[in-house]
Amino acid sequence: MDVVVSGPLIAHDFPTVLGAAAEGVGLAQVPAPIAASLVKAGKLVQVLEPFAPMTPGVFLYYPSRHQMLPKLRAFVDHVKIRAAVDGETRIHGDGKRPRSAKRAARK
Amino acid sequence: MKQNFTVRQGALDGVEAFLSVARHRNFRKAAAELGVTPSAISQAIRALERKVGAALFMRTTRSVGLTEAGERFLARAKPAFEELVAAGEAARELAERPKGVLRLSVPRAVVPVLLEPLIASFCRAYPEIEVEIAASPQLVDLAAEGFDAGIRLGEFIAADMVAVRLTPPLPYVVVGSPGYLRGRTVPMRIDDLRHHACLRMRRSNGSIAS
Repeated sequence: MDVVVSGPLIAHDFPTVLGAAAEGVGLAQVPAPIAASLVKAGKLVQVLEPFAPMTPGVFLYYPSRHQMLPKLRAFVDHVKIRAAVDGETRIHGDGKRPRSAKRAARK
Repeated sequence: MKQNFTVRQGALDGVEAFLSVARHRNFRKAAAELGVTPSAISQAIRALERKVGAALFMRTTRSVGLTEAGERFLARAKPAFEELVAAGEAARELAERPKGVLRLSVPRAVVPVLLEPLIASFCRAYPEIEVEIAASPQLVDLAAEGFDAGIRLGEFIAADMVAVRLTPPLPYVVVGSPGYLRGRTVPMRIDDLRHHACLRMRRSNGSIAS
C-alpha cells in the first residue's frame, strides 16, 4: 500500500535519513538492521510495526561472464563458505546472528 | 639414515639436448631450439654418452642417426622427461594464487556491518588480494566504473546480474525519535503518514521514495 507523503528532507542514502530521524527531523523508513542499534539505545522508536514491508535482503552481485577473474572467484567462494558456516552471513546492525528459519522454528 | 640415491647428481644434464637432437636429427636445429650454440649441444651429448657409457648417436657428414643404445635411451627418457616438465607445471599452477585489486561498490549503510564478517576474514585468507571499497549511495554501472562486484538490496539489482544472497529477507521499519513523537499522534495506519514529516530518499533513477 502506497501513500504520498511529504517532509522537510530528501536524502540519497539510508544513513542520512536515519541520522535525521534520530535528530527528530521526522519519520524514516529503513531496512531493520540499519536502525537496530539506535532502536535498542532508545534513540529511535518503531511505529507502524504491523505494516512493515519486506525487502528481498542484501546481495552481492556481479556481471555474468564466461570466465570469472580469479580474485572475484575467490571472493564469491569466500562469501558462499561464510554463508554456509553462519547459516546466513551476518550483516546485522546490532551484531547479533539472524536466526535461521530452522532455529526460529525450534523455539 | 643414509639415503641411497640411485640417480646421481646431474643425471638429467644433457637429456634435454639429447631429446632435441633426436627429434630434429640435426645438431644445429637442436641448438637453435634450445637457444645455445651447436658446440654446446655437441659437448652436452658427449658428456651424456660418457655418463651413460654408450654412444647414443651415429654422426656422419650428412646426417645424425640414433644408435641402438640411443633408441633404447630415447624410448624411456622421452616420456620420463615430459612427465617431469608436467610435474613442474602442475605444482606452479597451484602456486599461482589469485591476486590484484578487488573493487567493490557498497552502500554506506552496509560498510560497517560488512567489514567484520566478510572483509576481515577475506583479507586474512587472501593476503595477495587488495580490497578496495567504494561507499556509494547510487547504483553504479559496475563495468563502466571498473568495479568487480557490488552489494545492494535485492530489489535494486538488474536481472542480468549474478546475485549471491548475503542476508535473509529483511523488513523495512518506520522509525522516529522519542522527541519527534512526543506531542504528535503516533501513526496507526499507513494513511496517517500524511500528517507527519516524512524523510524521503532519492533513488538512483531519480524517483523519490518515502
